[in-house]
Amino acid sequence: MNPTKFVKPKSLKDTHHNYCPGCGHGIIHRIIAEVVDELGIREKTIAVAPVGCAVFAYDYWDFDVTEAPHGRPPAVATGIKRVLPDRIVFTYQGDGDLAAIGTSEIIHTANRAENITVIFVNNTVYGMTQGQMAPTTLIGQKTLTTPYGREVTRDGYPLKVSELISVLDGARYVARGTVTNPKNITITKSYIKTAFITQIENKGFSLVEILSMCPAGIHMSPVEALNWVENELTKCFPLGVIKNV
Amino acid sequence: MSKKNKFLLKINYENCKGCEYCIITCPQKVLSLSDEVNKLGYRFVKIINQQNCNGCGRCYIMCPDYLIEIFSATD
Repeated sequence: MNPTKFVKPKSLKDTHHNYCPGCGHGIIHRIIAEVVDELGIREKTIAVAPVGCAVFAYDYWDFDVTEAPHGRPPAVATGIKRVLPDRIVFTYQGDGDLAAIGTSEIIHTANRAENITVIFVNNTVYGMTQGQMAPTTLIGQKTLTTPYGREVTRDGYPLKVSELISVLDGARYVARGTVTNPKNITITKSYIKTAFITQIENKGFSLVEILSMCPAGIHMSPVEALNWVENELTKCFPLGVIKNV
Repeated sequence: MSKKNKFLLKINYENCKGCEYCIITCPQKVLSLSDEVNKLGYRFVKIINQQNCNGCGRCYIMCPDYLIEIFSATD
């Protein structure tokens, strides 16, 4: 028996992870590990994990990972990158972390053109606390804190972080992908790879937003959640490269 | 006689959470959900048509728990 290219990447540990069935985090962890392996940067990669479901990312990735307070990974990554400029530093954040409590950090980090990469996992809810409304929740979407659906007059509109960041001069590469089928996963992996290369070439700030499934948070079965992300979420958050300079 | 590649799927059943992403993605209907449950309490994915596997890797790409690995052997 010979291994094909479809075997677990070396940058992933054998740990069994604690995510719910159908959670998109596992897929995103794997494609990041594959990109790190392909670029051969495992020994000099430093990840900054968020507060949220991915808080245990250090248990799953086999490279250096540190923790940051809620919403502050871009600030921590800025410090690491300035002290160790030869390292590849990326943050891994959810929408509650990056788009709500960490809005200030992400905007100013992008505006300063800090040479880091941000992986932004958008699943429209606060998944770890069982699905409260986040800034990225769709209009009309039912969550624990909006049981009759999100209303524009009361709760405002879904925050389009990637478009917001792309207008800043400091942002060099901004793209949005999803992980709902093998084609989209491959495309998203190419976005992550381009973002890492942007950092390796010292061009400046790069952000990849990934639309992900949170079946437990949006109260659907995994397959329903997958179809919902593919058919509904992508209408509000169009996929593709938003900025590449 | 032409040599044909055979593919062998290896699934870690004990950690499977039964999300069914691999089942809906497999074009050859190699996988199915078992009626039994594993130690975690989930119905896990089992292989029903190993001979149909063409090694496309779609199940490996979709598995959120990276439990599927694919090996090849030449006849």
